[in-house]
Order: sequence, then C-alpha cells, then structure tokens
Amino acid sequence: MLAATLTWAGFVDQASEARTISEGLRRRDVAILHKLVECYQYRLTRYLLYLTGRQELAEDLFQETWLRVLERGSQFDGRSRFEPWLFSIARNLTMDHFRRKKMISLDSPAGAHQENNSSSGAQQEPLGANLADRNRPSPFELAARGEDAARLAQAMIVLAPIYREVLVLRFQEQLSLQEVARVIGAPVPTVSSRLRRGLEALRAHLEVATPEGGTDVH
Amino acid sequence: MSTDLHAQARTLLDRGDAPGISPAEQAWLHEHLRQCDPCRCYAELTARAIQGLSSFSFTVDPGLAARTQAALTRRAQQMEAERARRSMYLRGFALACLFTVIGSLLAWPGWAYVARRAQLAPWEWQLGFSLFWVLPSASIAMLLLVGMALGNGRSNVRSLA
Repeated sequence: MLAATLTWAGFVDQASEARTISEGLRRRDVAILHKLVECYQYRLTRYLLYLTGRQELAEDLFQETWLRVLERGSQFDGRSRFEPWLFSIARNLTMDHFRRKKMISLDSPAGAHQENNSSSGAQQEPLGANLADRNRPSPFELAARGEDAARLAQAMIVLAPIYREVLVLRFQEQLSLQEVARVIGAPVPTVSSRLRRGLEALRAHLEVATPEGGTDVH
Repeated sequence: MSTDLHAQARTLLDRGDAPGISPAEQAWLHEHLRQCDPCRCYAELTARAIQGLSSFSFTVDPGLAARTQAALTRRAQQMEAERARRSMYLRGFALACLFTVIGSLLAWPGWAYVARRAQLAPWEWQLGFSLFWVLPSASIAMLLLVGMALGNGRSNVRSLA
C-alpha cells in the first residue's frame, strides 16, 4: 500500500492518500511519481501480465502507463481511489496497443465468443491461442508455485484476457465490483458474469485433479 | 432443496465480496453450505482457485522501476521546457498585441500631424500607417502565435512517439 511507504508524509487514510497523489500529479511532482512507480511496480506489472500474457509487452506498457500518468495526472481528481484510475489507464493503453497491432481485441475475441456467442470477431486471434502456441513457458507457468497454481496456470493460458483481467482486479487487487466495472468500462452485471465464467474455467481445471468433488446441483 | 437456492449460494460465492454481503446473507450462506455437499465442494474449489491465483509469484525485472523513473524524469523535464517555451511565446504574443494597440493609439495623432504638414491625402497616410506601423507589429504577434502552435504540434508528435 502506498500509505505504508509514504507514512513520512502523514498519509493515514485512503482519502487523504488519494488527495495527496492528486495534488502531486497536478503539480507533476516527479518525487511522488517515483514513489508511486515503486509502490505499484509489482501490482501493475501483474495486471498487465494478466492482460497481455507477455513479459516484455507488459514491461513496455508499464513504462507507457506511467508516462501517461505524468501527462494526464491532472485528470485524477483524488475523490476516488488511485488504483482503479491507474489500472484503467493501463487497460486503455493495452487496448490501443492491440488495436494498432490489429492482433486482438480484449473485448471481442475468444472472450466475446464465450460471452455472447457472437461470431463478429471471427477474424481476430485470441490472445490465449498465442500463449498456448509458444514454445517457452507462459508468465503464468513461470509464476506458479504449488500444485494448484500449476493447474491454474494451464487454465490461464487458454482463458480469454477479459476473464483474466476481472479475476486479477477482483481477487488480487481486491477492487470492489463497482471499481472493476469502472476500470473495464462495463456494467457491474457484466463484471459479475465475467467473474463467474472465469472462476468456472479455473474450477474446471482444479476439478480434473479432484474428480471426487462433484458440483452438480440437485 | 430448490435449484434457485444453489444458484443463489454460488452467485454469492463467485462475487467473493464478503463486505458486500449482508450479515443475513452470510448467515444463510453459512447454513446452506453446512447442509449442501455440492455447494460446499463448489465453495472449496472456488476458495482453492482464488488462493491458487494469489500464490502466483511473477518475476518483475528489478531494473524496470529505475528505467521508468528515469524516463519519467526526462519526460517531466521535457514537459517543463515545453511549458516554459509556450509561456514565453504567449507572453510575446500578448506584448505584441498590446504594443500594436497602444502604439497605434499613441502614434496615430503624430502620423496625422506629419501628414498635414506634408499635405498628404488622408487615404495616403492612413495606408502608410497601416503598412508600416500596424502590419509589422500585427505580423510579429501572428508569428509568435504560429511558433507556439508549431511547438505544440512537435511536442504532441514527440509524446506519441
């Protein structure tokens, strides 16, 4: 938490923390930005890894995100938490990147097929497919510690980014459903539905290992 | 037990939103899980999935933060220099406009006096006043404005790159 590292400045609660960040960004205070980079380096990289599935790309987008924070810092009003604003910038840059490269769309590829049964994105290649085809291990496989995590890493490879991102935002960043909705620019029911589908996929991989645990509804 | 109750329990579990669930809902869920084996299994799998995600430990390049901080410092300096340059152009433009207006007001009677002494027609000296007094000063103001606009365009291209 930023508060933990900025205690010297007396930032006790989240509201004052957000205000301090907002003022710092408005002044383009590089010292505040440097502290934010340190505080969020792991979490932002992790989010970008969940979104892109590629280490190098995630690192490039990490830098771009912070440059954008510097340039657009005055748009953060400090009335809500900093994290959703930061993650929405990172997400928009990722979307722009993929649009430019015409490789995938986070909202329409495999994810949309699974979500809406729509076939409009048939020309686009799902990111999950790229990950699965690669010879070297995915970031998820490299990050897996323990048996369950190794199985989940396999699930992550084939899971569409739109599901991966809600999982990381909800369960790792601990954002509320409303905050996740704000980051991804979708209504709360859509977030709930993506969470359910994402968890379903993960549970299916865990269930394979423990077939005795039936989950059929009576 | 109706399917709706199982679906309701699983919806609550999938939200993973303990603070967003009312105490009554939590108590109901607890009771339901106590009685329903499949939903308990579902809850356990969900918890394992969430814990499994938390156990991922990604490697972050140790130099990434330092590189990003250096890039931020450079960009901040660049933006500060651009801001100073814009501000200089803007001040120059304002001064040029001011000199055009005030200078013209002050010079006008002088030009009129000289024109009368030289017995020039009004259109002659007024044309001369426009060409040799108002136009140069207004041109300088416009050049400063164009310079500022060009500078903005260049900085936008740099930031896009």
